Amino acid sequence: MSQAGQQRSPDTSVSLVAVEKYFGDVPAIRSLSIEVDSGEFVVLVGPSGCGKTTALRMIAGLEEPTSGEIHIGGHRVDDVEPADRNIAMVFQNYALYPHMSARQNLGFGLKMRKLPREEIDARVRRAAEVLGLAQLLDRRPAQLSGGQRQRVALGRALVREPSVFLFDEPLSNLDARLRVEMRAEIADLHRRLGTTMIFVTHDQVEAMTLGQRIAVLNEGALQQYAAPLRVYQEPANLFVATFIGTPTINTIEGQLATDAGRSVFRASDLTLAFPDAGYTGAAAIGVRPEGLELVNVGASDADLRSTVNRLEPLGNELLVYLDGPGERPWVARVNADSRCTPGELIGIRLDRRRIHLFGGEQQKRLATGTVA
Amino acid sequence: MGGRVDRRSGGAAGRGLPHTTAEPPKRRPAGRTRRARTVAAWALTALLAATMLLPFLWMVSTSLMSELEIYRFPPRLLPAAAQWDNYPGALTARPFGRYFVNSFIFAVGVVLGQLTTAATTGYAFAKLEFRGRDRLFMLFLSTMMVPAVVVLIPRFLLIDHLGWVDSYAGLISTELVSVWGIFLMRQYFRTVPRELEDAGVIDGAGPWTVFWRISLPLAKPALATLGLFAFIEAWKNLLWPLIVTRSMEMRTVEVGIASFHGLFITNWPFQMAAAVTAVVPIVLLFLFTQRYFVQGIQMTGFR
Amino acid sequence: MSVRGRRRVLAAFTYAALVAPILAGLHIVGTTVRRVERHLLRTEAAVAAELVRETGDPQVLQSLFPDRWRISEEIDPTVDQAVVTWDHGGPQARAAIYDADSWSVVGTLHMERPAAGRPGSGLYLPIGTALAVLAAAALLIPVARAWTRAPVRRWLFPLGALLVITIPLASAGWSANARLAETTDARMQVAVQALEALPDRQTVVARPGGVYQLTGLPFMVRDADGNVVFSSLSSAATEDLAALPAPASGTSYADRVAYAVADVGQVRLALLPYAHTNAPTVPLVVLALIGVALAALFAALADLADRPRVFRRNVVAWSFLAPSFLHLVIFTIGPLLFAAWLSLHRWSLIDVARPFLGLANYVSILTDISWWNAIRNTAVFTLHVPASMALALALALIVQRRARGIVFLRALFFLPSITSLVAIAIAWQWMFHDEYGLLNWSLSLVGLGPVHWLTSTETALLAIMLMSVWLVVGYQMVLFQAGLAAIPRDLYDAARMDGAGPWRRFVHVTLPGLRHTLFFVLVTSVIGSFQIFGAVYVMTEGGPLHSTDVAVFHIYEEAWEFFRFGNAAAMSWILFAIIFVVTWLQFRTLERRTEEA
Repeated sequence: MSQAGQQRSPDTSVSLVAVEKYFGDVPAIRSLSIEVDSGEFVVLVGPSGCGKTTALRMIAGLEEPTSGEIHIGGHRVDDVEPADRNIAMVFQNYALYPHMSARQNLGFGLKMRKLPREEIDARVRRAAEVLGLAQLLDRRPAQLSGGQRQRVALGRALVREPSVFLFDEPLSNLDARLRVEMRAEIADLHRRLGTTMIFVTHDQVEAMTLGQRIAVLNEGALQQYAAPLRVYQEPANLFVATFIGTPTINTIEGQLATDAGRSVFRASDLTLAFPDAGYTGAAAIGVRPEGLELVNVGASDADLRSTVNRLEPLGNELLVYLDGPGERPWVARVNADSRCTPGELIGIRLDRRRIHLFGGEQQKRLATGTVA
Repeated sequence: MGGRVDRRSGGAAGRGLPHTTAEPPKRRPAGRTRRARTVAAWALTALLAATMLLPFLWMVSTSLMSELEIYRFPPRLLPAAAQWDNYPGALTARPFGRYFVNSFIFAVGVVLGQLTTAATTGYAFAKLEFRGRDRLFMLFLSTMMVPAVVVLIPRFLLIDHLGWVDSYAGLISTELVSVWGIFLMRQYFRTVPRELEDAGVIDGAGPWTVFWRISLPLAKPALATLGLFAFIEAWKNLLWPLIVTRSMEMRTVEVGIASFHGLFITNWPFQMAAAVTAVVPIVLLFLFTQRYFVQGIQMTGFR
Repeated sequence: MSVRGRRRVLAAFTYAALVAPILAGLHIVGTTVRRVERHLLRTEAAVAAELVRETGDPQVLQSLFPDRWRISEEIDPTVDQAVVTWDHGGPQARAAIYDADSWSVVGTLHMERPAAGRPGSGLYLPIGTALAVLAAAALLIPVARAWTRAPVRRWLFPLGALLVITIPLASAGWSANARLAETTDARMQVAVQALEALPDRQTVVARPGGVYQLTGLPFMVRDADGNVVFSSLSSAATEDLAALPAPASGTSYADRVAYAVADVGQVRLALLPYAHTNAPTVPLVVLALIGVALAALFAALADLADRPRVFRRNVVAWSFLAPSFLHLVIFTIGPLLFAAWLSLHRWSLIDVARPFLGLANYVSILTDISWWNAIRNTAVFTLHVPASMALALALALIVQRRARGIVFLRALFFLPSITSLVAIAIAWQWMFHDEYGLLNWSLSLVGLGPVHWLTSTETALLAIMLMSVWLVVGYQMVLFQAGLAAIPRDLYDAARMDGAGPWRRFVHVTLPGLRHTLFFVLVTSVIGSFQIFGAVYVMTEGGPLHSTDVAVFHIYEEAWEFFRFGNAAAMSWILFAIIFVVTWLQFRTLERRTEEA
């Protein structure tokens, strides 16, 4: 919003209003509403099959919503063909035309729009320079490396100078190092162009690092739509908490009861009190690995006890995998110089401020931080 | 491309054959047994090759004998002196040049028609979304079950009604669509990634442009395969040209040599000369393009 | 274009698709009726002129054509035979009247249509129209609902469209048939009356040409004992009609055709009512089908009118499909139905009578020994398929596939199945030669033979099967090798580890791994071998003594040697049914077995 205001660029916002998509009787998207501001970088993230790619393809116009509305730049585009939506898309497998050279690949969209030849050449050259492809323009996709192909695919979107960029898991076919490199490049591109970008990925690291806002989807439904840190710190529900963050959040299931104006969570020998959540019944708590403190098994202030299963020293920190305390194994992120050994029985102390309480319909987050 | 296919099937060949490979190391067979087996397999291969070739060789040999030379027992395997005159003799006894031209026009017309219809229809079934697509495809496929002879009479009456009997239009028009070809092209187009066409759509290409500029260029191998099968099927077609042509000027090679056979029933060298002439073009075509046949079979699983 | 505009255009197309075939059909029916009636009028004029010439007394016409005739002295040089012209809003016929020697024209005879027209042609048309209006009203309901986007039952529309189109067409057809039958009767009557009006019939009968000029009908002449002296009917019909008791008139069936028959003295007149009097059924059916298909298509598109992108996609898809689809309808589905229609009729290129026979063709075929002989031969011939497959499988397992010249070898194995079948059949026929053939010579080397390959009823079919095995074995072998290559080698290793010998490995690894290839080769080869034609046509022409007469060759001969198209069509449908059942049985038994495995 602010960027768009600064650059006085035209409205390039994207919004989905109560969009639904069924493939036959199978729902792929259930009533999805997302607003993307002009110039914003939004990441759609979720496990495979959550509908994020379908959502992107609907924005592109490659799929049609069963119901609902899609607006781009303030105009309803449901009946507009993809070519006329002024969008560009980068595909997961690059989707470079194998029988055309890199130059032809870059210029195809412009040629289809009947731009003059000189204009096409100029734009292709400019994009090639920006992406460092100038030497490779006459090669066919088969003669390019994975990273180069990715750049051509990016360039193909770039030359079009669209108002919205759509990325469909563009980095998933690259090896780890190239991925980091391209990630930086895309972020840089966004900074320079200030164009609206919508990026689909299943990789939460990409989501956290690229997005100004991220939309977490699961089973076709929007779980949370917020800035990355907010999603991490205040997950809307147990799914978001579990999906975002590595290692995964530690959870334990129990019962929630109301007692003297507080909601009291009980699981085996653990009792925690939260502000009144107005809900009783099955519930769960979640604590991120950094919210655990490992103490002596005999320590009186230990909340729970468990056995160390294995250790993963990462240099700057140490991940301690535990066998419990509930049915699911837990992980603690502790100082690199902490000492414990596999098989050792240890005590766990929970950081009260960082305990999330989940319960009720769709395991919503009811509270964060306990009360006395 | 073809080189790759050949290498692939050649490489795979080693895997599936338990008798010549995968000898267990613990029970090393005596070298002699193994060699004997290889020799036997080779001998059999050679014998089979000879069996396949023999009628062709015999055809050529007889075509070069004199009319008296053939009626001899035991038969001579080779002519005493090659009677090359048999060829001009046989080929001018009937207008064979005309037959070849007709066969060629018929086959090329059929190829062009089938390539066009199979590519567009196969593409529609593979890539386009429309109401009733699967049911319509089943309808197309189910017509493959219909034996040619059932539609033969009505087709002839239709062509007769249109006044196309004994014309190229009559010959070609019924053969312009091959459901097998549609199936082949559909299978092939399904292997073209959807993203490529999506990219084209986003780049601003209409459906026909996507088809023509993106999908069709990628389907060249399948088109080549289909074209060859269509050509050879048309060239070999006997029943339809037999029925729909009347005059000698419109006969195809197959019909031509069949009637030649009836006319010169005792002149075997003449018949063989005509037969050799009919076989040679197709053999040459096949030798240079046979990899596409294997491809076609691999793509559809049958022919 | 707006949604409403698009929908309106499509609705207009839909109704046009409904109305156009009705109008076209009525036009066709009307033209047919008018053509026949004009023909009748012309015949009447010709008969009348001839009668005047024969009798020299114009008044004989008054009893035959009361007040419809007029003779003028004028001589129109353009009128020789009778002609029909359009005058005063109705057809009029004129015919030249010759003198008794048939030498010079003495006047012109004018003939009008009966004043009241022909007797009414029944209630078909009004009832049909009423029904069509009802059906159209019923059809409006789903259309209106499509208009308001309420869900419509898909099948309702085509069904309604079919009714709307078929009812008027069918009633028009029936009405035309009734009218044409009356016309036929009238014509018959004219012919009979003309003959009866002659004072000296015997002299006319003595000159068959005179009878023909007087009646314009096919007929036969019998002597006093009832023996046939002359006949312009088909021989079978002549026999049948001659066998009828003497004073016969009305409709008689002869040689499966309905004739209108009347005995006039020694002359038995027979009329082929079907020559002109059948309503044009086939064009009407075709029109109705096209109309229904188009109406349904437009209605379906109208249903999508408010979803422009879906609509566009459907239109685009049909632009890709249309040529093939039309071809399929015109050259496969249409002919398939037409063949069924043919099979219910006696139909020949050279006989204008094409009567409906019901299932008579099928009954006669199914009781025909020669057809069953052809089927038996075809079935026996099909036995070469398992033989060649077994051989091909054995060879596929043995023959070196890693040989250096594999490309060349594979080409060699393919060669027989792709080259000219006629050429190969000729070569084999020479190799099969009784005295000088290569095969008998080879046999003589080991002290056997000679075998009368193609000239003995015992071996001719076997010889063709032998050649067919040679034709396909290499090709099948290459297919099997491709199938074998797809079996993972691990399976063999695992079987070996379990201690399985070569036979068990073959049964438990090779065969299951190859089952899809085997199945497809079997099914397609069986379907193909049921349609064998070329080899038989070239090598034996069904002989000797029908021992190689196979189904397709039999059908070919039936149609193009004996011109019995209806019969041939019925045979082809029977063959289709047999192939269908055989294929279905293979699918059922073999697929089920592989599922269990």
